[in-house]
Amino acid sequence: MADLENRLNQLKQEALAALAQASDPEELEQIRIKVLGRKGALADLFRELGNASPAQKPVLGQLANRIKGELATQLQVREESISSGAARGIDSGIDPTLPGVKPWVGRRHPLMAVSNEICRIFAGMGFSLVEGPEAEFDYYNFEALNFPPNHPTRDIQDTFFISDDILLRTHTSPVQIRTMESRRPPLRVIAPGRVYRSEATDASHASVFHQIEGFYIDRGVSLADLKGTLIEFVHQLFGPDIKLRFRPGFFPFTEPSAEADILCIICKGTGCRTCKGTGWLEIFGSGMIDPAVFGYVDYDPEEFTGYAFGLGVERVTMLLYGIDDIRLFLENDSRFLSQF
Amino acid sequence: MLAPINWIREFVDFDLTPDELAHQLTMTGLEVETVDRFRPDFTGVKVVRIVSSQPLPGHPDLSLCRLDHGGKGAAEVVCGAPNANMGLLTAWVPPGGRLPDGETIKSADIHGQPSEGMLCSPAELGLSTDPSRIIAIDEDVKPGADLVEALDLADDVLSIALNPNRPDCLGIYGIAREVSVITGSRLRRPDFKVRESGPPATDFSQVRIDAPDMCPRYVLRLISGCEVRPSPLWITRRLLACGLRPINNLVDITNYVMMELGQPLHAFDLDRLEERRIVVRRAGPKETMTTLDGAEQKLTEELLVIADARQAVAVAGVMGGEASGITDRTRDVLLESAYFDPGTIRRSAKFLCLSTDSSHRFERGVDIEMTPNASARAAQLIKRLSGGKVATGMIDAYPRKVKTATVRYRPQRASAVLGCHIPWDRQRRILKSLGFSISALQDGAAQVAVPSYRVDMDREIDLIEEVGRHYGYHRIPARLFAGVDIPMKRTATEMMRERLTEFMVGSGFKQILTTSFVAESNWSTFRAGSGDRESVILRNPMSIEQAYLRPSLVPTMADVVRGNLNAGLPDLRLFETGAVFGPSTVGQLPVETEKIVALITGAAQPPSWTYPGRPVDIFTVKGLVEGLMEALNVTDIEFNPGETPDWAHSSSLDVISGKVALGSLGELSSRWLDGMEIGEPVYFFDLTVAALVELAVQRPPFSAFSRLPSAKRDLALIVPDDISAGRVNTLIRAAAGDRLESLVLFDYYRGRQVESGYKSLAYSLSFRDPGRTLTDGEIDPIINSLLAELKQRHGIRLRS
Repeated sequence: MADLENRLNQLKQEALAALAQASDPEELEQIRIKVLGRKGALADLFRELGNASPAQKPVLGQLANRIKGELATQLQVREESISSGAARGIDSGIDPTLPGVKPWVGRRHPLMAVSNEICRIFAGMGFSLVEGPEAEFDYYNFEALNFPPNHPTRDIQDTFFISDDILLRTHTSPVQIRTMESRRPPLRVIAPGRVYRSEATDASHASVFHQIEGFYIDRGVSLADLKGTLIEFVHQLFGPDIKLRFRPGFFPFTEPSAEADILCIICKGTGCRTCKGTGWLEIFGSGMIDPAVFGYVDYDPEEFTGYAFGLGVERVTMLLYGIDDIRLFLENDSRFLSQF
Repeated sequence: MLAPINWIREFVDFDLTPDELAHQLTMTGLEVETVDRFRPDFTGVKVVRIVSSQPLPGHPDLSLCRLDHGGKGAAEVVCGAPNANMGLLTAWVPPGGRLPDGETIKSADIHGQPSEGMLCSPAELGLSTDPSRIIAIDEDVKPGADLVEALDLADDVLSIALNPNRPDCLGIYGIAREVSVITGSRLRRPDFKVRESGPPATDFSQVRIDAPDMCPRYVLRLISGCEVRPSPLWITRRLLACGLRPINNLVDITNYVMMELGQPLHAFDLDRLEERRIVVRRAGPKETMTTLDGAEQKLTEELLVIADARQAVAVAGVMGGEASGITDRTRDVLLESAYFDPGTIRRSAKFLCLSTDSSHRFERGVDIEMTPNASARAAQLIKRLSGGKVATGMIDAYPRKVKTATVRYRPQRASAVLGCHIPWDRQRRILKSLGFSISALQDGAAQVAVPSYRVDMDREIDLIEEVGRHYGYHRIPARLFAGVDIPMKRTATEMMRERLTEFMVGSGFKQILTTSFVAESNWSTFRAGSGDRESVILRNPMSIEQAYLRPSLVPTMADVVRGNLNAGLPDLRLFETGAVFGPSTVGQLPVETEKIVALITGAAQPPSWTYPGRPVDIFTVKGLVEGLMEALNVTDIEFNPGETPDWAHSSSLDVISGKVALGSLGELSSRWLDGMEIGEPVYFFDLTVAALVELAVQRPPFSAFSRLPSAKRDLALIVPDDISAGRVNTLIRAAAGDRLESLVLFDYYRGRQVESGYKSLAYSLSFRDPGRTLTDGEIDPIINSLLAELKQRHGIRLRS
């Protein structure tokens, strides 16, 4: 009866080998019929088992059943692996070096990503977002911001004109006036958007670019509050080791005005090409809103004071990512976009 | 503004390095952009003494000079200058030295005589205009010294980016005043004394001001018997350091005093003025004149001119005229020092497209009280350097007194605005050293008189800024939020933009940003709305290709598609959100609408070894819009063939929900793409953000769902061609009742397997009941009646 035992084991080996080589469901089905089917090889051996001695019958019976179970399991495993398609590579098992099936990977434009990040930081400090039109009246872009007509302060910003009194906004500051006209203090507002200057384009100048304006008007607002807000922002965006430096500046719609520089994020103040050796980077224009501006919107400057600040999104983005040419932003080369 | 540091030192003492000075000025409001070492543009030039000078045999106009150059032995140089005499201390360029024109000097052989290097005129070294004689050095310097060192020709020059509100610092003296406030050292006034002689100036000339609003003050002095010659080095080196070209003593002095005091001056040749008098008036309607730069200017009545009895001789405050200017033969000089209305000068400069050092200062506002002093200072220098005589007194026409402001100033207000308590004594000291006069404090306020040179100040807040900047912004503490808390609000548009971006980026799209400008051809192709084109065209575009505000995001985005395809970058999935501009009526702002547009080309899936590549088609963009709508919980949505614009293929669809038009989707027309030089099909969707905001359901109410199993049935239907898939969908839903949970089309076939005039649509239906498990016995009648309905009423039958 050792013969039957041998034949059972042999059948098992042959069946396992056949299963391993099978590459599609049809082959598997044929193996199943040939080995496990009602008229298959295993069934034949079970029939022969009837002739075995009573002592051996239970032993061989157990063996035959175990083999039947093993083969059934193996068959199922192979079925699953073949039907899942994973067996297509190399016949035995999976080739892990085959590339996965990737989805298309989308990207945010770096300017939008940074603009959102900046707005999110200010939102965390209680600033609400307000937007205004890109084509704007001279009144909002200049006059109500205390740029007198026929005055050299207007030369600071080269302007695209549509008509005598309609232009493309040269900064996001007109949103200040529009907001103040329709609301009363206290106000804490952030206004991102696209702005335009009729400037020749080069690696650091664009005629279409993006700014973010912020302002806060209430009783008792002072330059110290402006300083505190900008320092907090700089720490959140650039890191707590980046210092902020205030120095006097000039904007027609703020008085006193301040330029706010940050410690150069590249060299941390020792001087490098990015900061032109100064150790500092000019980031914000800011100041206390000029009482003359309040005059245009009928706020009492004795009751309310406010600060305003603005920053260029392109400049900040270029610093954060080390981008050296502003023209890359509107060129939208895939190889550029894929990096952010 | 360029400010040589040694010039500043003439008016104030300080113990700061150039970099320290630059830093202090920057931190108090005069932004120093660079500190440059100015050196004349020559190298190797030395001081030498001529120890002997003899005529070169056979060449009486040349001398052979032996030079003491401080080193061993004497050099021999042949020189043709009339003043190459023994004993002269002069400048020598040895062989190897370089002149400003770039020429390197070599040893030469002149008429058989070796000549080592050359002796130089100031003109050859670019130091003045005098070519006639070699430099004569009066200073006590040793032969062998470097000429630049010996004559102090080099200087550190601050380049200051001056804000337009600070004309007081458009002169070295004004900058020195700031330095004196910073350092606490005393400011030294320039010398305004002038020795006058002879008859009064009024005997020589007269002034009449016809337009006193445009010219509130006009001062003249007369200097007679002048000799026009090159300026001495102490003048020219400073002009050169400030970037000005030396011309002659008279012109150089007007420039020198302008740089020193910020007051532009003009010198007329008295003899060239008709009737020797000055009329300050508006230009005549057709008047013309030739300015010093040789340009013939057509004037208008808006412009102010300086005229003689007959014609305009200068555009006031901008540029003098050729016919009345200083020449080599000028003897009697009429020196103008005036105050012109800033707006008037700005108008002239803009109209003539002429910006000069003079107009730059006048249009920002000069110091009206400085006019007589500047006049005296220049007259004094002209007398000294040209040998002329200054006539007694000046002609001072001052028809409109410009009042200086007196401001009520509250020190406490300054502390409040700056957010930092600054003692009154400190505030007072700052204001005083800036030149303000201050009364005693009364009821917490002082009366502060603003000096005439601070044309930018007439309010308390202006003075607060002065105190703040000299107190030091770095001393002001940082503080977060003084006032009541203000609730932060997010707008629906802001949140929608974020959801759209998330969806698109999640769907594998790259966000792009394109320019807002398009060419006329694209404007007319994409224009929407019936307003006037004047409301969306730029008057001063960068180029004709960028003259219109974009009416759609498609054309500028298509440029990006082309750019990437040309760079060999296929399979583009791009989107942009941004404003487009519709025309309005003239005088109104263009109509701005925010859009989201996607453009797709190339493969539908990233290339992979597991399945064949399939290109994108209209169903890619349609599916995308369907998916987006699902994400925004917009259920009721239709896609209808609409009127197709020129730029889109006729298969394009309008996207509508109820009465709200969302936009369109489809394929860009191949004709338009040809024009754009794009060789591949491009699919798009173009939706209006405001419509999405209106339709999106921010917080849909929860509806309970059944946890019981569903029953599935697949149906392959043979459908007449004239019944659309959308219609079949509607019919099935109507007939299947409300237990039909989902209906999915999984196969669509037209071809040989199906008789002509018909198509095959295969659907998977899934049924579920909220209360119990559905049995075949319940599903079969539904299917049967559905099939009967489709067959009898619509000729749709089950595929066998």
